[in-house]
Amino acid sequence: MSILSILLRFQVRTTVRVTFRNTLAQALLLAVAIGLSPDPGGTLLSLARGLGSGAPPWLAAFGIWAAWNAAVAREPLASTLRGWHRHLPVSGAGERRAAWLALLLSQAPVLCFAILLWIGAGLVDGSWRWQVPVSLVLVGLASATALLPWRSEWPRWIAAASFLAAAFGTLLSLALGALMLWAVDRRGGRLWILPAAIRHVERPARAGGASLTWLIAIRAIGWRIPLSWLIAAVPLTAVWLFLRNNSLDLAQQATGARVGGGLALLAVLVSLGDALKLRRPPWPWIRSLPSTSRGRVVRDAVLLSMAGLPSLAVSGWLAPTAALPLLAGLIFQSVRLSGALRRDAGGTTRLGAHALGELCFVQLAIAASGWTAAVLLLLVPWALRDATRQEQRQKVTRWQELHHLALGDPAS
Amino acid sequence: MSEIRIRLRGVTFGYEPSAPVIRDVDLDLGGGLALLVGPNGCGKSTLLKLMAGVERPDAGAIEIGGFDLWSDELDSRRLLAYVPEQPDVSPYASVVEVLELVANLRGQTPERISEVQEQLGLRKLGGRSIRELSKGQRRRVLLAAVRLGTPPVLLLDEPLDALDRRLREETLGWLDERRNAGAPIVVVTHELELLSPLADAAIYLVDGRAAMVEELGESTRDRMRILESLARGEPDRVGLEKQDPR
Repeated sequence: MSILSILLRFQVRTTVRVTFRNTLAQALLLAVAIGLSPDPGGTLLSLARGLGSGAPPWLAAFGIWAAWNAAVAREPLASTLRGWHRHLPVSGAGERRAAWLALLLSQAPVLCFAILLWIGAGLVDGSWRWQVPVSLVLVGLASATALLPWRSEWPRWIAAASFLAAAFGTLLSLALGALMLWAVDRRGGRLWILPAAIRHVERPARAGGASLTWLIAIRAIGWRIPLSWLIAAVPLTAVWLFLRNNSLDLAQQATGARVGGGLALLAVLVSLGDALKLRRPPWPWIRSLPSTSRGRVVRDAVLLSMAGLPSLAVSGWLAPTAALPLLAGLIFQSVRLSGALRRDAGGTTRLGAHALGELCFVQLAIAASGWTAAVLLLLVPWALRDATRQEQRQKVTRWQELHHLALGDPAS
Repeated sequence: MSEIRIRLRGVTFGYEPSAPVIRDVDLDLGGGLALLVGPNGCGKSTLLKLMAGVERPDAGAIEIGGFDLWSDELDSRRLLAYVPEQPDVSPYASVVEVLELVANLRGQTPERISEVQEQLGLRKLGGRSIRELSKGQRRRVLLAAVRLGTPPVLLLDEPLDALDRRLREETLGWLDERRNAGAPIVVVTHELELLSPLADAAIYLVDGRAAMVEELGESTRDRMRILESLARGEPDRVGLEKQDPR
């Protein structure tokens, strides 16, 4: 087995595989969007014909979609290339090509879907533009090239130019794009995968004080916040279409908005709560500083509530009377979730089943009757006391050492 | 400052409730430096975490300067500063962000942050993420945080670990200064040779139970003999009681 294939297998197993999870959410969104259109078959066919025509905007759009997946794979991939990995008997070119192909593979689901569309268009219309699959692969390679951690910036610029050339899809532009990528491969040299410390010495300091806990949480969950909004958009879109295509009275519209908004909030809270519990290690030392357990719980609850505001705003736009019950539910659930983040869920680092069950039950209750929210508001002080008790009772150092130290900690 | 005391009453704690690491510990510590010694895994760091309010006891209570750690969270924690064994500062924060957090909580000025950065050689590392630092650099960050403000109670877990020679000497000098000012200081360490001259007392743990030795002797030899016996978990070799588990 060649060194390239050994490295590639390693990258696929350790990093690229993880990014494939994103594809599931994207596939779900696409299926819902196409399924909700007036003529799903027609929508799919026009999508296939658009891509099959080889028009640059279509190729570029699919290229950007695929590149987004590669961007997600980039950081975990770069982190596997640092440190210990550097002592392995691998040439710089081998290492670079394996990383390059790994980033291409992270785009594979999107590129394969695009190629399937091209085949579909070819079968229906009988015309086969061979430039389309070539262009898609080149666009994917150009994205992967641009996203590699280069020592200097010039390979990125060349790769960006190659992306544009490949998206034009003509014989000449494809040849030019391929030539540029070949040049980068020949002259690019070793990747810049020394510890990030060396590159960021001059990075300016940002906010401090109590807001640091928010910054830490946001950095820990990062792109999962917009992803949770994307997931939340699915039920909201469904409800919007339902309300638009049916003649309903105000009460029915409000119920519909509460159902959709509740599901959207559930998606946001569950995905972010789970990500926070998994990715943000508890910070034992901060407990020795002059801050309160209640303050830490409230800060997490505020963060979760803020993340739910876009869904709440859309629900309010769908039916203004649905906004207040959903807001009350959001406050209550954020506090409860903040407590659940601190509960030992049987040795796992995910949210416990009881927390998920409770969130679902509360949303169901709000959907059934908006007045439930008034009760929930009254229960907020109790929820806060309970969450504070969870914060004080959690055995933070045990939790960290057992489950979290290996997550991105170079000392582990 | 000398009236500030650390009091533990009937403190019991275990990471698993069925297997307590610390059992029914009673301690009353005043000003001066106490070395917390014992063999590996005897619960020294856990006891320090309990004193620092990092972990909450399953039973019993801990007071710092008369404030209960868990019912007067703010008042008790304003009086203490803690350096953990694992420099477990959040990997998502930069050095300056951590120091600003502590400075804001302790009411310190930005100028003071610059001063401690200078003292601990962190000037050039200010913008770096904690995850980019070596173990020694992380420990410097924690030692810098301890020096922001003058919290009277110091709880230090292996404070000299991973420090270079210059910083070790500087830290020992600072500890001596704080000790002379009457601060209650508890230090977990295996570096007995370096810290024994500063020690006013020793706390030793056997089977999760703690006892205190307030007379360590005058000569360096005597002090080392007592401390080494305690660190090995053999207090009976120097005529001290070996605590029996209940």
